[in-house]
Amino acid sequence: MQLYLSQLIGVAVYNHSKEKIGKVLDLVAVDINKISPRISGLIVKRGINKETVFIPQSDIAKLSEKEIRLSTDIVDLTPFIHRPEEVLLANDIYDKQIVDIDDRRLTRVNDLVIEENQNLLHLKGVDVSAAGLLDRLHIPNVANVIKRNLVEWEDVQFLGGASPMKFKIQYQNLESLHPMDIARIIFEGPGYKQGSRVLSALKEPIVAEVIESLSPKLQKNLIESMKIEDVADVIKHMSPDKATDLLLALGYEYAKKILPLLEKKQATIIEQLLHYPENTTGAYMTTEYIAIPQGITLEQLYSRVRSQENLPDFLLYFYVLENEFSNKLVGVISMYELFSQDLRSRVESSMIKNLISSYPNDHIKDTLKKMYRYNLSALPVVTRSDRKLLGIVTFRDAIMTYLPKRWKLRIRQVFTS
Amino acid sequence: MNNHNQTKSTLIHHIMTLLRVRKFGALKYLMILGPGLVATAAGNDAGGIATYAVAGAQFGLKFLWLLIPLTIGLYIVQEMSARLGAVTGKGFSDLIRENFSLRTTVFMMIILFVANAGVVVSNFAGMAASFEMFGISKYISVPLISIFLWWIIVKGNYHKVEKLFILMSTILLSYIAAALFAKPYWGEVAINIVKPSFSFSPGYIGLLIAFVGTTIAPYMQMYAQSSVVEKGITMSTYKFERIDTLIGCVFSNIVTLFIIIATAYTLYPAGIKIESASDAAKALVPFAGNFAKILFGVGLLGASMLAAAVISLTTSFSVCNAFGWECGVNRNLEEAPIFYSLFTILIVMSATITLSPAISLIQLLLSLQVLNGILLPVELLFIMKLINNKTLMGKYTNHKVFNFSAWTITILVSICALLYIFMELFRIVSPLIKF
Repeated sequence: MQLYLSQLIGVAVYNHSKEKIGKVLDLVAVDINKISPRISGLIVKRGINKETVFIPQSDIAKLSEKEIRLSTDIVDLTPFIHRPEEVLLANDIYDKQIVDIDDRRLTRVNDLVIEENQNLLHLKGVDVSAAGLLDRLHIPNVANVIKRNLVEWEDVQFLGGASPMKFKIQYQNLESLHPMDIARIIFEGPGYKQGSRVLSALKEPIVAEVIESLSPKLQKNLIESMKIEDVADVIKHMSPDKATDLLLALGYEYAKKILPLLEKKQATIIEQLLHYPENTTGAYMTTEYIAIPQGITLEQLYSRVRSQENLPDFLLYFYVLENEFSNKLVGVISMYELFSQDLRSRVESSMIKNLISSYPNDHIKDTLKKMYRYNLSALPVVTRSDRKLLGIVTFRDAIMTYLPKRWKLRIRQVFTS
Repeated sequence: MNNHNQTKSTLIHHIMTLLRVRKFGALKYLMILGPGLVATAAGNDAGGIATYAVAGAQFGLKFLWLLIPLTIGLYIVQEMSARLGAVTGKGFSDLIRENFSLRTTVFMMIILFVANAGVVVSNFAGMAASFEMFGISKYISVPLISIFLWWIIVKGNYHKVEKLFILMSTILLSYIAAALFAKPYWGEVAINIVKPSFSFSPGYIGLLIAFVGTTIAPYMQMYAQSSVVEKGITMSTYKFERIDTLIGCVFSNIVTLFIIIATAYTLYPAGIKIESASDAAKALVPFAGNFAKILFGVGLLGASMLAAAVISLTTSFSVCNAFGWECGVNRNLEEAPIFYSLFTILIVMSATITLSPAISLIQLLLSLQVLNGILLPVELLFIMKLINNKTLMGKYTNHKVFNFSAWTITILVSICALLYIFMELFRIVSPLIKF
């Protein structure tokens, strides 16, 4: 049998000998992160003194929207104490924002569906429709014109409320969305304060991607409300160029605090990247690419790529260096060659030696023109003197140059243009 | 440079040196300026202009004493709304839904919808009035404007057109020049600013309520709070937002001052009662001569279009947010049907009311400001409850002196509204008692 929470609240509770104990004030759920959380009992408000007592679910004999009858006469009259990990359905979930995972959108809890099955109560789903609202307001829904819209509890992500909660929420549902959607949802809905609490509970690589997708302003606001150790952990999952952009967005004072917490390796690259002035190719390039020495076969290249733990975002070209210890760029080999050439041949035989490259101090627009003219998706950036490979510029950076603001997430609903 | 040998601390030192030379956007703090200014400047919409012009034409300088208390009141109210937004990162309707019962939320949304719908209607009346000045009947202009507004917001690019509206509405600043050209006696102006005057005539009280209601309009608080949230202002940069709010309040009331001066020294001595927008434009004649009509007409049109668009969007947005429906101008019609339905309802309703033949546009403008004034205390009560909620605001609740002033304003506004309601009731009931 299914019941709505709104039908249960305010219902009279009688003990076994039909004496009235009070009215239902709230329902207590545990295991809120499970597919269907168990209802552990009722909070009942007693008569005049407005004391609240807890009635365990096992004492309920009969439950309906008219009355609730208990199987016992013995009721523990000690006032209810809200213990950690207990969720009060009406108090904590009603009217709060949730994410409908399938539709990737924010909505509000208008009602909750409780299922009774073999004398056990479970939280089954959420009503997000206007019909749920009408029901709670006791306004008749004439001929059911407005349809109910129920979402299963396993398909929603509960975000908690504005103030800290007594229970821990797991966000695996939210994590299944694209980082861009996560960013959009938590900033359009709960705002920074609650948003940063949600964010710091997500896995670090996901947080890193969410933060990368934000505009500098949102980044700054968000990070100011996060713990500095958490921020440092997140930056460790960023590529050095993204971390550099973030440091620039955060400003001098914040950078001073966070730098000692970063790894030396990452800081070294950040330092080098910071040398390139704005609008130069160096300031736009990424240091995440795959470089291989001359002399290996395509098969060896293939297994190297496969064994690499974190593949770069952009992976269309492999950069061939003079040897294992030198950084001098001698050629570029496209990923297509792995499919079209004999895997036993050496990389030199299929690499392009006549390189189109750019220097770190070139203006970014000149580099992009070159990429367009030669129809390349990425261009290596090398030193002028000895052609040492410093990084690559990809077509994504081209988009960033021309559409800087629109491609980063900002909150825009009505006002800010 | 040899990075392999340097220690981590020298490395950090190097990075900091490099960061120091980078500019962190010198304009950073200027960017924050804005929401407060726009929110309060938008208060000078069609309803505002009509109210101030009528006040000046009918009572001369008798309303000037309200300006200082109203500026303080406006600042206190706007500051609380901005602070609610900066601390919680949520809009007004979200806070209502999450902190009050569902019934209260519905009640509050109805109040806000009615108050804001009133403002939208008054701005439609403003548009119609500005077209009438050029001899275009409202039966032609209103349907065309409605279709135009609906189309640019639902299908077109509203943000490009918005700049044009803002530009047009700045023309109304010519009232400042007009006031100077009217050669006011500054001594008299100064005395009337500090010397309170009061009258129990229904005309005066009605206008007083309208004056308060249009200066501290409920939608301005919603606007301030939402734009603080959207601009991402948090408590760390809040001190700049506070200055912005203050500048906005002072600026908007300076404009009010000049509108009253201009009308008080041109229309009041001549005994011209404002019955149409053309009468209000006459105040600009000493300054602009034959162009007065054009200046006033274009300015009024811009201000009305801007306010009508922004307020109908804000209202639909707030209502949708409270009930968890998809909303925002970056959604399309299919994604956010209720949002656009509410918006359409507001536009169609406003057009219909404006077109009803029996109504004088200026009279309509005034009575809608009265409606705002009556609904304002309800909204203020909720702001007070939210801002002093410790779990929500933490250490940013009102401090003692501020809280006292805020309550004083709430109570004064409530008294005014109740007084008006009683007088209206009395007016209706008294003929019946005689029998």
